[in-house]
Amino acid sequence: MEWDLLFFLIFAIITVAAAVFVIASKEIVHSVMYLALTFIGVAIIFFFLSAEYVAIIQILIYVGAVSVLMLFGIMLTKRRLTGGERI
Amino acid sequence: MPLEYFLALAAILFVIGAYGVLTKRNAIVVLMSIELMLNAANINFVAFSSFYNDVKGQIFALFSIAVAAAEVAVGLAILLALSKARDTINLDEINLLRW
Repeated sequence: MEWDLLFFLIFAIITVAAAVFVIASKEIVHSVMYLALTFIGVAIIFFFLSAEYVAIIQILIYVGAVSVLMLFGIMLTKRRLTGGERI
Repeated sequence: MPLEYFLALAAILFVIGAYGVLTKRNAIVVLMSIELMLNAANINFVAFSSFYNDVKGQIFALFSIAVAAAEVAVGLAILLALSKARDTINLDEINLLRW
């Protein structure tokens, strides 16, 4: 097996597993953390496609801006932590 | 590596995001699932641009990233105003725009 295929499979599995955890996680803050991991995995996939500029822009905008914006959105909206359903 | 591997990865990410949009009730989780689907589309753009040696696909991916960042900013602003007005962001309880 070629080495690049092996590394591609490893990072693809990490990305897909993090995306599944975004949906499956009970606590919504953990969801955002897994979402950042998914974005980093997608950026590494961009490196495999030799699109370094898009990968760096992906890390800057998605991991740096969108994840932090999501965290602010979670902190500023009310969520039911105790009692009731936890979504 | 063949092109199909990247397309399969993008398809799996898109299906996960679509499942999250359809089943989750929290509006912020729905926004995160939309981001997953946009990332799958970006993988498709960059994969085709890399395999056909055409840089236009990467330019489209950059535009898509910019539009996605603006979209999540506007969406979260709407959600903040909604949670201030209606005191909830559960999508089952928000039926203000029902037909």
